Amino acid sequence: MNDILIFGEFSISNKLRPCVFQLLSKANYLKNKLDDSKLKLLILSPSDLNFDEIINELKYYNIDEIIIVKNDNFKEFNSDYYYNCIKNIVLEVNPKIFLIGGTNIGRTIAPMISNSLHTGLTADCIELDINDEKNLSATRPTFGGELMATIWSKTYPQMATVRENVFKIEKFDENNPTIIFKDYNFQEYKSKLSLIKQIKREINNDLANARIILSGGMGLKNKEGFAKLENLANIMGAQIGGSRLIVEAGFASSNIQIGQTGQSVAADLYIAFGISGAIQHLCGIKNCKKIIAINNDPNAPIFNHCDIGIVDDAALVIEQLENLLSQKV
Amino acid sequence: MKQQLKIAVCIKQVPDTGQIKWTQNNTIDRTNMDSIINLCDEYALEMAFNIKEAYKDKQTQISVFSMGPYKACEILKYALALGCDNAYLITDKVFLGSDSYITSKILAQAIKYVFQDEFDLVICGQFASDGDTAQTGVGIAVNLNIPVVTYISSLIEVNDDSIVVQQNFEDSFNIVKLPLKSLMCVINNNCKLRNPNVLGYMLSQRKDIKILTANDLGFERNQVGLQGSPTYVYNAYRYNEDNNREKKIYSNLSSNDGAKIILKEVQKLFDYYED
Repeated sequence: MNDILIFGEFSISNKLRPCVFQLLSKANYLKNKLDDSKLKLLILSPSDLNFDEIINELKYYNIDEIIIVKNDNFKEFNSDYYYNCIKNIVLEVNPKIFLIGGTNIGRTIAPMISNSLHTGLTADCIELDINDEKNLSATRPTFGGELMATIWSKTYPQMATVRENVFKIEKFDENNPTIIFKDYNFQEYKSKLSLIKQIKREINNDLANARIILSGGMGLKNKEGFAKLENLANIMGAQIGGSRLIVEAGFASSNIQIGQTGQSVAADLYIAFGISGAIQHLCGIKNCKKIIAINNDPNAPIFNHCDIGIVDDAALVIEQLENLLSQKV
Repeated sequence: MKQQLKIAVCIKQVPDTGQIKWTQNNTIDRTNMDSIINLCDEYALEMAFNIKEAYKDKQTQISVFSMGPYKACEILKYALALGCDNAYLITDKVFLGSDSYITSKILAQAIKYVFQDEFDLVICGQFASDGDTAQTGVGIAVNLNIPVVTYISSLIEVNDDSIVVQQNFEDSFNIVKLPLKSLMCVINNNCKLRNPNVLGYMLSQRKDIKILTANDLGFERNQVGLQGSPTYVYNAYRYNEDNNREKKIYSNLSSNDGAKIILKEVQKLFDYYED
């Protein structure tokens, strides 16, 4: 009962999501700190899916056992069928630790399982470790991303979700995991939820590939303040981004949200106007080469995570930038 | 066809994390912190009103629940002023320190206590801006043993015994039909939220907020709060990850000089691209 179980979530194109490989990489570190622990992966799949390629990909993560459960009810996501099956497999496998990707699907399934198994769950962790008592120690941002909390659980399995791209993928020497195929029988059970239509989502990559990003937060105060920053970005030929709070306030649209809940970016230059720097936001910009922050609160966390910090009202600096640029043209 | 529709909406009062000020000792300055209704929960209320309006020929009753200290009456009053019919404050000092697992249990028990199983929909915000675990709504559904649909961005249509909604996932939008007697978790979709009007405020003055305690709901002290919760916070601290950033901070520049520093960096980059 020292085993670690990972949920292998598929993307819409029936490929394992990046978070699965990221969790497997991290699980190797956890497994090494536990005695006699096995790493297991659980995959739910429609009956007709071919697994050759998927299994080949999975040979580099030191997995001991891959459990593939087949049923046509797993063709699309249905929380009832997923929950029903995963719960039973978890009871059967009886792992010490159960990790799930922090996707919208993962964040739906995880609390269903934890509530029905009466066990603790820590959401959106950014660090996982094993403590001296050989239990899971899960660290997550809380309080709007201003505080970090390390959470321990008194019950088993100890469950956690981790957002995509929080952990890095690390490959190991090739091995041959035991593969167990199972058919799952729902018997008389029928979900009352039904999928009427599925519309594929187009992902906007402008931000992910941007070289210069001007990004706005609540320091811009209102819609007009943010519009001024958009205008500046247009003049500069930069991409525009926003913090979670300014998106939630309705001043910026959600497809430009940067951070753990939005997009991760890796610009050459990231300029944050009036963003205080919640942990989730900092996680999303940590791969940017240079970060400039403008904020009127000298104690704002972002000043500990920037290359150049300017303590000033972001709106005033935007105005001056506009002036300087119009003189140049 | 059932003529009555009973909706329960669960809301939470949260600190206004958009206004956090830090002290020099890396603790949060709570002295001037405002408490507000959690944003997703405003959309949950909006969803309840939209459903009520869509079911023209049903009599819809919206009851709102909140677990928290007495101060949380503020947001329950707000919900009543918006037009909710009943409000319940779930409060007891033994609930203090409950994690999301226990909170789900308590809220589910309150819904059972009030409705004795005679309800049609429970609507929650997807997550709270302070904890952001996104677990409580789903947990309530498991405790009530009803289907749950998460990440709902909009209402598509209502039928006699079902509701059709849009659910947002990372790589798809799903149009999903859910039965009456299920739980919906609603996200912020930037739709226009209604505001209470004067008549709403006046009518709400006549409505009482009913109090539910651990005793009412049949919980023993050791089943709830910190003691009953499977998880606990071992340690909490301000995030200060080591990083190699230069952290050159300018505190007393004119805005014009600040702008010049930024432009210099932009220029450097353009020069670099041209090379």
